[in-house]
Amino acid sequence: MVKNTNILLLKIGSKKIGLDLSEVKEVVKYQKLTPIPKASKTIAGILNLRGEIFSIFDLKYILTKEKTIPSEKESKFVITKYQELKAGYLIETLVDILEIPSSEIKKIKKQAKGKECFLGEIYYMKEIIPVLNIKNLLKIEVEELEKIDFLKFIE
Amino acid sequence: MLEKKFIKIARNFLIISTILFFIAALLSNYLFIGKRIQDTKIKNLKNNISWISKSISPQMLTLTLNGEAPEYHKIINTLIKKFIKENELSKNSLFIAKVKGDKIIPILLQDKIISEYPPQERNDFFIFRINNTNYYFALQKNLKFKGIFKTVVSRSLYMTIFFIVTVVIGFSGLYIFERKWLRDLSKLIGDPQKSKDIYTKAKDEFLKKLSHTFLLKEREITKLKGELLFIKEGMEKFKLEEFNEKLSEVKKLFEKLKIKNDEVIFYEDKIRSLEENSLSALETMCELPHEKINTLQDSVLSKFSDLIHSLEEDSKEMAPLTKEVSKIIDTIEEIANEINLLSINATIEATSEEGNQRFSVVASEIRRLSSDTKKATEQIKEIIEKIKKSLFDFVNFYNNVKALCSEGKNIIDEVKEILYRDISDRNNILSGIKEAKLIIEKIIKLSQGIKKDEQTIFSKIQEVSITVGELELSVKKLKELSKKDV
Repeated sequence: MVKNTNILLLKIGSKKIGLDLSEVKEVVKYQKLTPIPKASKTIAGILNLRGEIFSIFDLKYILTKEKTIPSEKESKFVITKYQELKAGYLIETLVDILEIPSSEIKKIKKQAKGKECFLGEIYYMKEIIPVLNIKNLLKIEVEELEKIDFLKFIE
Repeated sequence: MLEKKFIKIARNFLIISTILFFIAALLSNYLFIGKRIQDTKIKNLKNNISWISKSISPQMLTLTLNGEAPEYHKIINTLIKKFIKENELSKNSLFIAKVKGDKIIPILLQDKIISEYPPQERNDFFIFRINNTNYYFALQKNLKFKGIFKTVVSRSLYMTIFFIVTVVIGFSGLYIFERKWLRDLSKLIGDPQKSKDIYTKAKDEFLKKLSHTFLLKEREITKLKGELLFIKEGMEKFKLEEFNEKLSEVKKLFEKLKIKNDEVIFYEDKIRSLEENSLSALETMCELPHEKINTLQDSVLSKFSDLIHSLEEDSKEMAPLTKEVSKIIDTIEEIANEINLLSINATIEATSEEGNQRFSVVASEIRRLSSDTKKATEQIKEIIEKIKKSLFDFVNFYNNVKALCSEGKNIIDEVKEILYRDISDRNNILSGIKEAKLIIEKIIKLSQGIKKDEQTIFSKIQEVSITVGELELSVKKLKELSKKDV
């Protein structure tokens, strides 16, 4: 039997990016965040979701070093959980869910810092879409996140 | 004889001029050269002060004090006398003063105490000490030198000598080279007969010139006389009868004017009748089209405006309806979005390790449903926007029609204006006629005034004839006068 993986498709600016759905816990509608003073720009704020508190990262800022301008209709939070690390990502727009055989996820050939944050890339609708590895992304310290240039992998 | 006289004059001139020149030279030398000499002498003096300061050294003074009685005044006196001699200074131009605290007390020197002199420049004085007291040796404020006057006088003397020599050379040259001219002059002065002849010649010439000018004036007077005679003849030719005839002609002209006045009054009545006729005709001309146009305009405009009004109301009613529809569509879209989110979460739940694999199928179905509803809502949105656009176009079209209507109204108004302008022209004609009437009345009044003035004019004419007679008499007198002059 062929093993399938579900991939959540997002849009950041004009570029599409994939997330492994097995790493996602929940997708939540946009609501107002409480900002953290003097925090790094990668953190958009704190979210209280049914009594649990999640720190929300700005995914656009991490990848392109440009802040997201949230809109109530389009933007959403993707909540993830890895062991004891609870975190969410602020997302500009949500596109779709894809079901792809796991063999179609090909490894990235480029060698650069931050390569471990990507599972690989898929070919979909005549576009090469990089798929993020959230486990590894969560492992990286916040200060280092600001320094890594992810644009090389996206473009 | 002449030579003696010339020499006398020259000698006098020489004496006076030399005295004056000498005074001038003295003054100029004193003013311009004396000051310069004084400045140079003061400079030398300031240099020599250093010498005297050396010579009156405290060591020397102590020596002398030890040897003799303490009469240092004498020593200083001898030194200063030497200094004055060498620098050609006048007496009382130096003094020595004692210093007590801040005050300077002058000490006897050269027979006299001069005045308190706080020295201002460092070069003008020096200080020396005797028995623990300070002494000033200083120069007077206004220094006077002996030799200045001498030099000034000698300089001016040299200058005067030079002047005398030049003058003497000049006179002698005149005497040697121009002796002939001098002799002629002397002869003239010596011969009284010759001088008399020259005087008489000059007198005759002056008299001739005088007589010539007299003749010119006489000619001018004769010309004036001729002009006077011409005027007299003209006066004689002038006759009273002709004047009277002309007056009668003027009278006839007045009468003719009267007749013309009557004619003017006759024509005025005619003009009045004509004016009234034209007025009535113009009114009939204007009223007909005016009324017709008004009725036409009212009917057309009212019909158009009713149509436009109804259309506008309809469009106004449509606007809130479309808004409500779009609101409902928005809510539908939101619901679809939420369903989409729900389906995503459902798939997440299904694909998780604890989840049911079968439930994922349901989740995907729900997702499909939500996307379908989204598409449908988008289509509805498009249709509604199309409807909005068409409505907007419709309103624009009717606005254009409205504008056309207003243009038509304007044209009608212009036509009206033209008609009214005709009426104003007519009024202008009327006012012109009235002005003409006024002018005619004025002319009549003037003619009546002229009638009244006729008699006064006749009396004036008689007065004029009397004055003419008087003029004749005066002419005769003028004739006699002219004859006498000639």
